[in-house]
Amino acid sequence: MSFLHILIGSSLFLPFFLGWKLGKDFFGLDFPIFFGLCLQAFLGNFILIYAKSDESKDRLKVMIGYLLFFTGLSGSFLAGKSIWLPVFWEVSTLGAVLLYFGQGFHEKAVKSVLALFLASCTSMVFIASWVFLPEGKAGYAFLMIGLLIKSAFSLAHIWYPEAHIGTPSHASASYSGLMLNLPLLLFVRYVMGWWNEIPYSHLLIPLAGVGVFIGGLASFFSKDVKKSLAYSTIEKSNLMCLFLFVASFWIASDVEEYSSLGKSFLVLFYLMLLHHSFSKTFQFLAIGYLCKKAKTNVLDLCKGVGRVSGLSSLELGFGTLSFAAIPGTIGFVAEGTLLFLISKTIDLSNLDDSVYFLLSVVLSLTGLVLGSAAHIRMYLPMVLSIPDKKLAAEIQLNKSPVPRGISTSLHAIGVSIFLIPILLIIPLFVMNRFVTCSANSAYECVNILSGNGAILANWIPAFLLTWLYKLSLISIGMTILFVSLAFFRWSHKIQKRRSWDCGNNYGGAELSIPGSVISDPVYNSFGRYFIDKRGELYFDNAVNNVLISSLGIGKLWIGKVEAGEISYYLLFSSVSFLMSLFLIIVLKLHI
Amino acid sequence: MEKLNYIILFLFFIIFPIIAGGIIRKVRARAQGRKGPPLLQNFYDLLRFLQKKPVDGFNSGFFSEVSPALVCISGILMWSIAVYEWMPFILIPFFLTLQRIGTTAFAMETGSSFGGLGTSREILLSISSEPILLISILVSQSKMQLSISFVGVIVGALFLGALMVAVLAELARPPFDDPRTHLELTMVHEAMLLEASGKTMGLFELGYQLKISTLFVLVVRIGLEHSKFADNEIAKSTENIIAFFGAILIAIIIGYWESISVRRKWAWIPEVMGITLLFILVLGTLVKL
Repeated sequence: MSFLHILIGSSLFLPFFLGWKLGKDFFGLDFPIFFGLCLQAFLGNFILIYAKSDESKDRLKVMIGYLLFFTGLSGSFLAGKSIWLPVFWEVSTLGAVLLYFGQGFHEKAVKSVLALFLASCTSMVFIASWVFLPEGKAGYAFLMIGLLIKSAFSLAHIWYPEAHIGTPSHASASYSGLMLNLPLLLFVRYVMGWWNEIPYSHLLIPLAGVGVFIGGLASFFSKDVKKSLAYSTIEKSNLMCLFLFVASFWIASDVEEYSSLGKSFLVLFYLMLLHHSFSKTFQFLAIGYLCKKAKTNVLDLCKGVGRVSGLSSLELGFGTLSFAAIPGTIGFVAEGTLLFLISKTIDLSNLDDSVYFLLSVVLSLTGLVLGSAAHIRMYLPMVLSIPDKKLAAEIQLNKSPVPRGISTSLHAIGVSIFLIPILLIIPLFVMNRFVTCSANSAYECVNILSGNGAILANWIPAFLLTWLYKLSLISIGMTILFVSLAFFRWSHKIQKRRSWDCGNNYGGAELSIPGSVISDPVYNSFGRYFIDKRGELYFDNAVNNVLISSLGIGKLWIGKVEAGEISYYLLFSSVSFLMSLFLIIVLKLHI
Repeated sequence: MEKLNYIILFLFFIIFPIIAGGIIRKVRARAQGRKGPPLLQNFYDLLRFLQKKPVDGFNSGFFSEVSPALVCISGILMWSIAVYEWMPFILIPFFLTLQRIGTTAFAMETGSSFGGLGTSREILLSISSEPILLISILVSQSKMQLSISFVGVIVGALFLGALMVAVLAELARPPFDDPRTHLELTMVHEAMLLEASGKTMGLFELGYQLKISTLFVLVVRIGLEHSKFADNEIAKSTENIIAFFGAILIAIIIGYWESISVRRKWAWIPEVMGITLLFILVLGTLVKL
């Protein structure tokens, strides 16, 4: 088993060497690829450690699954415009299927796999079209569509929550924290330069705002914990798409004001990706562990499980604190920078250029507020409420210490959430002093170590650099405060606990609140227009029903036709033939 | 001149949180025909709390130990931003969230039904008021300015009025909640702090007073910095003095408002906040155009 771990570990680090051999410009044009591989190398390792501790059955198959998954992702990053991209893309999907072996293929797991395959195959058709089409805006339009489907973009997000409902928590963490990065980073690498050429691409900006709103809303009202986290991922993914669209829109502009903002939004994209990868991975791993303890994904039934899980409320809270954008976390840096850049956009002289973005800002801000509240809604009842006596007794009966792999992964990722804003200051400072950039275009940069100027002048505008320094300094101060409070408890230390109970043996479980108490008051006045009583989006349900009905046409046909009725088969064949003929004639005439 | 400005800011920083709550209570009492408590009553209560040892409930844990200090320190930090403006106002919502997490986590950890009830209401109010607060603060960071004309004053007053609605929701004051009553029907902030006592209670109360002060000064500063009369023509020290007295004026208005206002039903809140958000968007769009 340790040899397999080394093999899988090498699948995380080998791509760097392969990339260098293939001549990838990791600090220039291919920086998005390098970024994605770094995230994969760090987080992938800890997800693997978690998975090893979490799975007791068919562990070997799960590990092989991860080998294929990471190899597939790495190959997709490095493949470029070649046949290897669709090949490696499908290898990663195949690897993802093996991850289910640990918990078995029950009904929900099968649904998840189907959703994953559906999205993967649909996006692959578009990506394959790009691979085989000559260079041009048509090809890049296809690539863009394929990448947006895979990144659960607004209105094409239907598959994403379904892909999480039956998935093991470590696999969910891999999908959200790593797999989602691939289409977004490939967008930066390949589509950004062509975005302005693609017709009507600017209409995607308000659609991204809609996606953020839908994601935040559904996340807040969902009764299923995994779905809530999945919709939160949709919210953040659409937010990152919004940044990419805005950056693409402005980055190549001749006007300095717009070009600076475009670069700034690209930097913001990287910050948000960093935040999302770490924080969402943590959330899926931590909350997934709690759901496994409670043996359910229903939020209300998981009330108080954190108290008896063996992990402290602080250890379980890192991800929530980051999504709530608490000062000191990477979430604070990302969302603080977002507000900063929005305020800069409001001041743009030409309203026409900012109107698309400002339209989506309102929806995005509401979605962000709801999304942050969704994480608080999950954390407070699951970790701080008093558990039901039955649940507590059940967990105590099967009590075991927290597996070391699980606590190691959670600690490593949790600490990183606070460490990254502090460490950010180092590369900003070093690269600004010692590395220079000599390329002409706004977002391409060839790295030369000559110390004759600041690299970051071409990547990060001065005003943004100053802002990031300030945020890093605030983060250092806040982290010192949190650490001192957490470890030294200098403000107050509990000496003795007293009960107010006068003989009723009130333990607290009877009246402690579940998650729905937080969302239900908002449902009646606002949520009911978008969400049904089961906590699901009306839109998603409608689309799912249409898709399932359309897939059921074959069964309908079989039901209507009796065996041996040749005339019906002839009718079906003739209609299909005529439709194909019609399509060919139309295409020929058009060309 | 700069020294004078620093002295004014220092006095502003120390004095206003001590008297803000007292002004509201005094004006409310006077408007209702009562003498009311002394202006510094909140300060005396705070001193009393800080001298007492807290009593910890049966279910107390990590957040019972760290939340009071977190709430107080985040209050101090956002108050310093409002007074000294050492960072842009867009950081204030993050410290508000830190305060909120500290208070709600403390409430939930104690395991009482009131804690859960207060938490649920607090989150509802925050969801309703935060988008408006964020948009207002974003506008405050922009360079938009209104002229001192009839139209400019009306638009500015409407904008600040809408902002005050969000501030009242954030502070859980009438018509959103009644902090005077400690009844199950009407508690938000107090419900979360029912299990707090002694120094713990003192730190929470200090944090709340700092939050009140921050939001009042924020409203005044937004009004001052985005109206053309507060350009380079007036000195920074004068601007700070105007901000101080402007915040006192807001406290007086709120005190009077509370004497004539009642707490509305809970289901009304998301609807009125939604209308306020639309209103502020339309107003902002008109100004930008």
